[in-house]
Amino acid sequence: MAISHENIERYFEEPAVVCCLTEAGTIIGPENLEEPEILPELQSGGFLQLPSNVLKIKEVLGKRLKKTLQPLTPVTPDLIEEELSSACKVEKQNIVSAFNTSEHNSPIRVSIGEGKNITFEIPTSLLQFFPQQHQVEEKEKIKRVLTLREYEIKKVQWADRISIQDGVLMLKKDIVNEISSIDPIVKKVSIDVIEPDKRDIFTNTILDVIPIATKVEGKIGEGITNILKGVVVILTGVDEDGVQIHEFGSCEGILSQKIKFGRPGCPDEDDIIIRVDVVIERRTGMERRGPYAAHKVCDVFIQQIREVLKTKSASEASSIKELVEVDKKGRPRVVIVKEIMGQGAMHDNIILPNEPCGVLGGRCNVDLGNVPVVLSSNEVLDGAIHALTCVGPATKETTRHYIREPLVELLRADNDLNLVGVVFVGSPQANQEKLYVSERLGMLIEAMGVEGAIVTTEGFGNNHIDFAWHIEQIGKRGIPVVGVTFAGVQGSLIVGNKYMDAMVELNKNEEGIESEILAENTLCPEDARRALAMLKTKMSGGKILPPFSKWDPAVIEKNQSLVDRV
Amino acid sequence: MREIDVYSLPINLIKGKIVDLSEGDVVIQFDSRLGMMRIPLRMLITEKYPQTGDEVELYMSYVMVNKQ
Repeated sequence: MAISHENIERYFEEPAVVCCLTEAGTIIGPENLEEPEILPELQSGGFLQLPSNVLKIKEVLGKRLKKTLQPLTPVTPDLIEEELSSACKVEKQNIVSAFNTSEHNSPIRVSIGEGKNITFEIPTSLLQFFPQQHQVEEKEKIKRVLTLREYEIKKVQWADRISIQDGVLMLKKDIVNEISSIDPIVKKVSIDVIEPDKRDIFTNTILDVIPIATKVEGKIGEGITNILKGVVVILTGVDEDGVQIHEFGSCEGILSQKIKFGRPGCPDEDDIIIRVDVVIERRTGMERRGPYAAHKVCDVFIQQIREVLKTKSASEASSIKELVEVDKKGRPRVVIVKEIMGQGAMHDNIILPNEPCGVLGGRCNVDLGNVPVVLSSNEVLDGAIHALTCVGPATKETTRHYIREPLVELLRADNDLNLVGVVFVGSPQANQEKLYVSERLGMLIEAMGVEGAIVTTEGFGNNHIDFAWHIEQIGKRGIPVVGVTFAGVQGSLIVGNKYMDAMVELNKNEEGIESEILAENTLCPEDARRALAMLKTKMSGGKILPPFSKWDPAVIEKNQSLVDRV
Repeated sequence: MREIDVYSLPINLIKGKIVDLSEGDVVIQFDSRLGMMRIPLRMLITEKYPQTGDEVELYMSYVMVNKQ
């Protein structure tokens, strides 16, 4: 299959092999050359042997063939005439047109393979297009500040009332009775405290991992937030028939084996876990109202702790952090696009609740029509997303994942880039709706005027269709874009396009499957570093090698060691 | 299973019909009495929102027993 004119630049460094019968005298163009991506397969099948002196594609374009070549013949120096023809002239025209367009920052690249006595002449009138030396240095502007007061908890106990004192969190004994009757769908609630060394117990499937945080001042993303450290709530559940509330697999079993402790979305190794286990009405596990009711009841329980946490002063905090969101003017604007589930039922997220990581007051992305919603990075790290989604446990991004999202943390801290926002876009069920949402995302990104984007998605399945479309919508606007997803073997991408050349794999399972271990295949700091390196490479015009036809974890290891070395 | 090259497994086209539908999943009955399958909606690729009676198709390989 011949190379298309659009793709030719990607393949300049690849070996030149004619794809079909090409007659003597032909001036070689992309239409005469075989797509380099299939050459390894042809070689392994014994259909093609590449001699050591085979020319690169950029060396043969525009040159005249001396002999008629049979299909799949590698082009070597003896087969082409030395004289350069139209290609060189075309490049000259390109240079002039580059000056004549408004893209003053686009580079002029002059490559000379071999030659002597070469003279360049540039008309002085063109010098006006070079940037002025005395550029005004632009200053950074602080957009918003969030003060995060952390209160270390070393022990959780039962008492007559809720209190937080000297590192001990007291929970009210009869709290279960108070919250059991909040929603008729929830039939039973039980709460227990699990110490770090007592995790070898049975658990129902984990719906969510929720930090305990509350606003003391201001809205989410700014002001003051109090947060408990060393303790986290997990929500688990079944229906009345004993069916786990799950969809793409469930993670019931021995707690210590079913959680990848230390992942951004999981409890940490030494965290005390408060487990809220619910039983919901039979057969509502796969309906929207079932899991939502479970999350709501859990939120009412957490709210009671929040009310006490609100009263804690700064002097009692074990540490105080300031999250300063800065507009780094003058540096390339970039955006993170997070595709979240929006197929309905439990595939939903609550955006911007009243309290950090809360439920009440937030809007479900399904109700918003799954259209893109822009959040600031401070809002994301202040618990603006409550994850309802029950995708397979290994790829599930929990509420805790968002409050310490590694990609957001990394990009906002990077001094080379200016992270302008995080766009959340839902993934609806039908392709018609997916297209609508994707096109809106494209328009939004165009209006944001960014120079780079990273698109991530959780889970796998039909959401990979709109994941690919989002990347296409951004890529076709000339914006460098990097994709981040779990794929492995089980979640192989089902569609693709030419803009999906920089992809980051989140799989960490040996077999490349949804392992039913909570958060095993979710985005971690090391994945974020690879994604950032890929984005910078793409933005600076660097080359990204094409993938192998088969999934190979060695590629990830190699990329990771490269990135870590830098 | 791990010894088999998953990329060269024989895959067979199987057709069927959606016989039940909930907010989160669909039940598919395969033609020729090949059985039934319940899958999450996210495994279903569709132009419009699915309905009972919609015809579907999928490719699948044979089922292998891993542990006995």
